[in-house]
Parts: sequence; C-alpha cells; structure tokens
Amino acid sequence: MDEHRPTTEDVATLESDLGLLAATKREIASVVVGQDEAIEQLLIALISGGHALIEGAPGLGKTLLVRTLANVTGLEYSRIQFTPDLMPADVTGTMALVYEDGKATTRFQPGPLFAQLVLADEINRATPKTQAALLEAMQEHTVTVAGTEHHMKEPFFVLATQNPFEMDGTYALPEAQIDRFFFKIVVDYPSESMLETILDQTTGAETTTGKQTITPQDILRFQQRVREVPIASHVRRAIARFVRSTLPSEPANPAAVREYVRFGISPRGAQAVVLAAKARALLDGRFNVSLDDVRFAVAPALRHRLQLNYRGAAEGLSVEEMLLELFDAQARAAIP
Amino acid sequence: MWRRKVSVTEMTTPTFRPVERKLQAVRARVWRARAVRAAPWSAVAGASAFSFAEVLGRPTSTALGVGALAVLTTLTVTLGVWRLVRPVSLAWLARLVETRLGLQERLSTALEVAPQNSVVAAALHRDVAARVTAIDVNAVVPIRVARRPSAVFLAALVLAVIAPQLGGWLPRTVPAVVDGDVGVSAASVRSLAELAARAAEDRSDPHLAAVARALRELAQEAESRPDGVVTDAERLGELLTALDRMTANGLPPGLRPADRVADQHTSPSSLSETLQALERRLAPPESVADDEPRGPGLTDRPIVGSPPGEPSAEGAGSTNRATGPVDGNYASRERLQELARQAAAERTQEVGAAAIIGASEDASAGASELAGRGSQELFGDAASVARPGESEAVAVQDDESEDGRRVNLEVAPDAADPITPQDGVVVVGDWQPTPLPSVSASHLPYEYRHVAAAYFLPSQRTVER
Repeated sequence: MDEHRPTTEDVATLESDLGLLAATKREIASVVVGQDEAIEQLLIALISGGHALIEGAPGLGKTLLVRTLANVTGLEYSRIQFTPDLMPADVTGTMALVYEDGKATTRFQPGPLFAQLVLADEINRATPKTQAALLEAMQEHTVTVAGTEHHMKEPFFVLATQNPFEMDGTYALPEAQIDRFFFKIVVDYPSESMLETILDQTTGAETTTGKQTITPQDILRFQQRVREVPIASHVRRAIARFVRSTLPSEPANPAAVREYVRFGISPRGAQAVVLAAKARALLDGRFNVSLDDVRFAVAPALRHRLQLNYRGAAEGLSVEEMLLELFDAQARAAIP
Repeated sequence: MWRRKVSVTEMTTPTFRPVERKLQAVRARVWRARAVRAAPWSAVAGASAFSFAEVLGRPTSTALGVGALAVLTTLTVTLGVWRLVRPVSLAWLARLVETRLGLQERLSTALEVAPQNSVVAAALHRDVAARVTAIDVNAVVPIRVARRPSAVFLAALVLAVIAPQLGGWLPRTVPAVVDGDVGVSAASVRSLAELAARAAEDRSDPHLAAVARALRELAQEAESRPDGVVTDAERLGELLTALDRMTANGLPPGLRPADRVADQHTSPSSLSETLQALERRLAPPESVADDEPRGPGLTDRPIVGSPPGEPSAEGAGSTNRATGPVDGNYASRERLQELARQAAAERTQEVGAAAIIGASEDASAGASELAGRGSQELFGDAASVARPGESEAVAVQDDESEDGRRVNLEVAPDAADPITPQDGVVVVGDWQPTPLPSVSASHLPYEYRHVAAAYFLPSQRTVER
C-alpha cells in the first residue's frame, strides 16, 4: 500500500499544476477582456469534465471565448452552427461509401462532433432530434452510428450557445436535456472601463489569440484531481440542506419556494455544485472546498436547473437571487 | 541523483500535530472567554443574592455566603449549559478559527481527511500545517467583558452597597415569629430573671433590676400558657440584648455577646442559646456550686492550703518571686498523686482554702486535663479574671519533671512588659496585690475543681499561701 501513498513529489507536481491553471486563466483573460467570471466558470466546467451552455447577447465575445480556450488548451476545436435544417448525421457523422482497393465499402465518416472542444452555436435553432444527438454524445461520450459505437476523443468538451433574445423559430431545450449541461454561463455586458480595453485591444494593428499554456493531458489530470479535492462534512451538509430547500413539495421550505418554484434542484444539480466547487478550489490554488467556492458555483450550476412556475416567471423573480438567498441561509447555519 | 521518496504520511503527520495543539490552545481560550463573559452575570447574581439577604435582615456574614454561593452556582450552571448547547469539539474549534481568520474551511477539512488519502489531501495538510503556526489564539478568541452585563453588575453592586440601609426601611422578619413558639420555656426565663435580679441587687443597678422585672413578667405570661413556652420572641430578644449589654462590660468588641445577640435574635434557637449563655454569666459562684450537679463527695470546702476560716488568697502573692530550675518551689509528685487520689476518692475536704488566682487565656497545664484550656474556659469569662491591671493572672507553661510540674513562666498581672522565658529560666515580674479577689477554688464548677485539685493548684506556690 505504501507505493500508492502520495509523495512530496506528487504534492509538488500538484502545486505546479495549479500554477498552470492560473496561467491559463490569465492567458484567456488577456484575450477576452472583461469576462473574468465567465472565464473562470468556463475553466471550472472544463476541468470538472462537464459541458457548458453559454448564454449571452450577440457580440459579447462568446465565440472568441471558446476559440481562445481552444488555443490555450490545445484541444481540437470544432464549431457547429445549428440551424433548423441541420440533421443528426451532420453532427455525429455518417457511413460513407468509399472505394478501397477497388472495392466499394462503407466507412464511418466522423462528423464535426468528433473533436475535443465543440462549439454548438445557437443550439436552440436545431430541431430536437439533432439536439438529442448532440446531448447523447455529451452524456455518454460516444456516438452510435449504424450499430457501431464510436468513442469521443478525451477530453471531450461541448460548449453550446444560445441567444436569449431571438427566440422566434427556435426549439427551446427541454428541461431534461438542459439538465445535462454542467454549467450555464451567462456572458454579460462589460463595464465601461473594460469596454475601453476591449476597443483598444481589438481594433489595433495587433490582435492576440492566446498561446497554449496547458495540454489536453493536463486537463485530463486536472479532471482526476478535481474529484480528489476533499470537502468538509459541514459544507457537504450545507449543500444537501440547500438543495432540499429548493423543493416546492417540502412544507418546511420557504414560502417563496413553495409558491414560485416548479421544479427544485435534482441530485445531479447537487453533484454539479460540489464538483464545480472542488474545481474552483483548485483554480483558486486551494486544496479543499470552501463555502465561498460553493456559493460561487451555485448560480452557474443551478440557474438552468431550477424552474420557476408560471407565477414565478410572471412575478419576474430572479432564479439566481433566490438560489443565493437559499444557500446563504444554510451557509450561515454552518458557521459557529 | 537518487532521492528517497518521502511518503505523505511521513511528511505530514508530524507537522499536523501542531494543528491539534493549536486547537487545544484555542479550546482553553474559549473556556476562559466564556468564563469572563459569564462572570458579570454571576457577579450580578451574587450581588443580587447578597442584597436580597441583607434586605431580609440576614447577618452580613450569611449574606456574603449566599452571595458567594450564587456567584459559583451561576457560573457553574452557565458554563455547564454552554457546554451542552455548544460543545467545544475540535471540529467546532476548527470552524471557529477558520471563520474568524478567513481560512476557508481548511482546518475543518484537514481534520476530516487523512493526508495519505490523496495528493490533494496531502497538499491540504501541508498547507494547513504551514498556516497554523501563524494563528494567534488571542486574536481568534478575544477576551473582553461585555458592556451590558457589566453595567447591570455595577447597578447590582450599588444595590448591594445600599442594601443594608434598605434593610432598615423594610420590616424585619422578627414580627413574623412574635406569636409563634420560640422554643424558650417559661422556667428558663424565670431562672434568668432571678439571676438578673440577684445581680442587680449586688450591683445596685436599677436598670438591670428593670430588665429582671420585665423578664419575670415575660416568664409569668408564658407560665399562663398551656404549653409554658415564651411566644413573644421580639420582646425576649430585646430583653436578652439589654441584659447582655449590661453584663458584658470589658469584653473586646468582637467577643461582646451583645453583638451576637443582635445578630441572631431572629432565630428562636439563638434566643435559647443566648439565654443559656447569659444564665451562665450571671450565675454567682455560689449558685453555680449549689445548683450544678456535683461530683460524688465534692463539697464547697477549699481544696488546698489554709484550713477553713482563714483568710483566703486576697492580696497574697507578693512573695511569689521567680522560681526557676534551681530555686523552684514545686509540688512533689507524691503530693500531686495524693491530691489526685483524694480528688478521685472524693475526699477533697482536706484541701484547704486555696485559690486559683487566675490564669491567662493561654494557660495550660501540660499533661493535665487542663492542657490547652485557658482561663476563659476555666472561669467562663477570661476578661473577668485576666483583666489587665486587675486580675492576678498567671500564665503557666510547664512540663513534667520528677518533682512535679515545672513552672516555666508566670506572668504577673502588673508586669509592664511581656515576660518571656529566657534560657528556660522562669522570669516573673513583681507581684502586686490587686483589688479583685482571686477566684476561690471552691467557687469553681466541680469538674474544674476536681482537676485543679489534682493537678493545677498544687503546682503553684502561690496557691499555698
């Protein structure tokens, strides 16, 4: 058993890995200005092994963010522009008739999904059938074509974007499918000073695209390390109580939850919170989950999982605010 | 170059111990802080209890005791409840420290995972071990006295200070027992009344006579009751206090029975005890000898010395010069044994008109039964015997010798300076006759006469005058 025990060298390697993560974050931030929170969330999703749904108005740098991520991580990058006429085979690939040695034969022709970093742009514009093909690949990391299972190359990371404003002619993702996204990252408008920096950086003679700081193997190692980050029992308990407090069926829960929430947070949502909090701890250079990490993870991990009912939507309630309020109540109880 | 791989267990375990030590230090600090926080409230409870007791008219010593008990009880109960409600476990302490120092759950997590679990856990332990040395326990748990309880305590303290005065404005508890049974029989009161009357007659003291009359009336009233018990505790207390005051002249303030009577006359048992004490004080030697049960065969005859009818020891003692090992004048062992036998055989009639001329409070008689007994116990009242300048006090510190007891020290009543033994030789001051008579041995209670006859009196030359 002794040979499995971590050594000082392992610890030193881990610490240098954390330095790589921090360098990656800095490198992306140097290209995508004013989106620090979105960058951090994106990296968290990446090293947690989850997929992210990015939502934001056009022109806020969503595509730039993903492309820069591909540059600094060295992941194979692929972009799929989702349209209503996009077919599943256009995404996953198909059996193509090819001639080899004078004989006609069929061979699997991988689709654009067979990359490591896939940008599914405007995913809500494709039909549910095509969406389902993508989501199956996201979930299983495999694609089955003509009875043959094809494995995705690891790490496999899908970033889907959707525009919240132009909803006409779109196919909104159903709740069951949206739940498969680890994070929903909201890209917001940059502040005035940030906007100045963006203008300065992007309209000059030289533009930066970001240089590679980590490798796909590093990412796989991070994904393993994230699951090793310990979490204190009282933090875990606070998360469990918080998740329970989002269920409208619980009589003891706050009136706002019982009145305005349609679906509470599922266990998968709770898992996402914990994993994201662990990843955030590593990204922050720490080796344990703090309540702050959990609080940071609550909104991106759960904002697309908590469904308000009609009344809640009509009242214009903010899901994020409700989530943070519920979590803060549990976090306060955990403090001596 | 080859380097030995050090396992995480090796690496972190020794460095992690300081974390637990630090948490133990925090724990001690937490309890100190809790005690300090509880202290003002305990003090409030103590001051309140003291004030309450004072207002109820309890003696100050009792009130102080009640106050101290309230302080201790409140402190103990508060800390006990605190311990139950918020146990100070290591996990709790870890969360306390990390919350106050912004350590982001590092300590509590490290307490729950072993360093060998994973590389991340190992790194966490190393990080924690490095940080814990910088933890200032005093900063984590500052000890400060809260303002509000302190203000309340000050108010309670003021109340405690004015409580004795407040007690004077409020009705005492004595009237509550005025009509009750105070446990003093009419016969006791009448007996005391007769003694007081006799003392008043001896002293020609009209005030004392008035008190005696009042006691008689009280006894008469009690005798008319079917149970024959005095019920008016307040009246009896007043009379006893007056009687006490009139008969306790010359006592130092701390020993004045009047004080004790004043303190205790809310208690029926104290009334009874006070009454008995006064009775003993007022009883003339003759009456004591007459009334008290005697040892078989003991008579009022003098014990040692001159035959009956001769002048007793008044004025004697001027010849009582120093007696030392060389020229000492001792009773022989045979004589002592003979006297002891006489006393034991109840043939004390041969003992002549001897007298104990006095003894100071610390006088002792070596191996005799009087060892350690001072004149206060012998005569019932030290001041009446060993009053400076009046009594013929003799301090006896002696030891047994073949010739009997050797008197190491005698103190003349009028000695200007304290006389101390010098090189084992007796130093005696000039003996001066005093106006007060010495106490005749025959006036002693029989038990002391018995002992004195056997051991005490023969050892002193002065008693054989």
